[in-house]
Amino acid sequence: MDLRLTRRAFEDLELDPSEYAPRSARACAGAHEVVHAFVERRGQSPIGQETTRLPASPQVVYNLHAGRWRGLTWHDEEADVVWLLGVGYHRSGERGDAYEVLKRRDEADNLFPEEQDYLDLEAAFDDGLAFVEAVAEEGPAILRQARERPGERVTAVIAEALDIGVLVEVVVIDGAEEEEVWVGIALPPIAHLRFPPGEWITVLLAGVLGPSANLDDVDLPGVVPWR
Amino acid sequence: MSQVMRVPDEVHSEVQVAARLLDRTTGDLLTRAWELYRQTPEFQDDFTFAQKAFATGDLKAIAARLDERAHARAAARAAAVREGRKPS
Repeated sequence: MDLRLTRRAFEDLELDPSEYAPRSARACAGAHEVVHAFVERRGQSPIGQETTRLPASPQVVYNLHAGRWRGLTWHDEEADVVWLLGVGYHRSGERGDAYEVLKRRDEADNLFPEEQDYLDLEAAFDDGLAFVEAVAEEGPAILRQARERPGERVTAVIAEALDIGVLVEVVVIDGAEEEEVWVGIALPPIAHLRFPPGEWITVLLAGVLGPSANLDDVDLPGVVPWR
Repeated sequence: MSQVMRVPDEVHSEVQVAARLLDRTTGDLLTRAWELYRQTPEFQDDFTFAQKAFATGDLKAIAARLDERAHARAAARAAAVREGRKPS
């Protein structure tokens, strides 16, 4: 589960969203006491103790306290993220009280994460390109190594992110030698903060198995040879 | 050729529960899920596209496709949140 601030929450804290928003809250907990409190509390449990009833939305949001600061958090189960939606000062009974401000945002439909917030969860184009370049270079290389040492699992870390193992076995079927290639991918990834999207795995398979691989021959076995 | 994926513990637990309910083994369910996923146009398109692009060295085309998918996913998630705000 990831912990994130919406860009609007970063603005509330006068932290530059373009600098901080692509990062997990865990990676910027030192930037502000509210972020620290958010990471400390919601890192233990995605929900809090007190809720605030929103005027327009049915979602359940939880109060977050940090000194005089107040915020609202929401557990986005679909994306496996707890969001800090917005923050302000506690001014009991005043129009400027944090909870009143955040409720007005809900009425105006700008409290919950927007497309850019979700895009901040994704890898940037340059990161994707770096991954593809690494697959292009390292994928064929690991398959080559595995072919040189049949029956032995060869491991590699692709793009400093995905831990993979490749094993090649030569089998004889009806007198003809055939090659069986096993590709194991350890998930979650060892370096990236979030699970890679499915298409990254697809790209990895295409890069390792190469242009001659027929998709119909790609199977998911129940047992892998190195277990 | 074979492709193996180790799944996270929570996914594994859910699959185990589903397998008990359906009186199947977890291996059966995962294999079935893989077969279905392998046949989806999205997977086939991505795999074939990446294979061709790797063969021709057009790596930016693959990165652009990953980027397109990321944008589409972000838009879909934001739309789902907006949809969830509407009173039922």
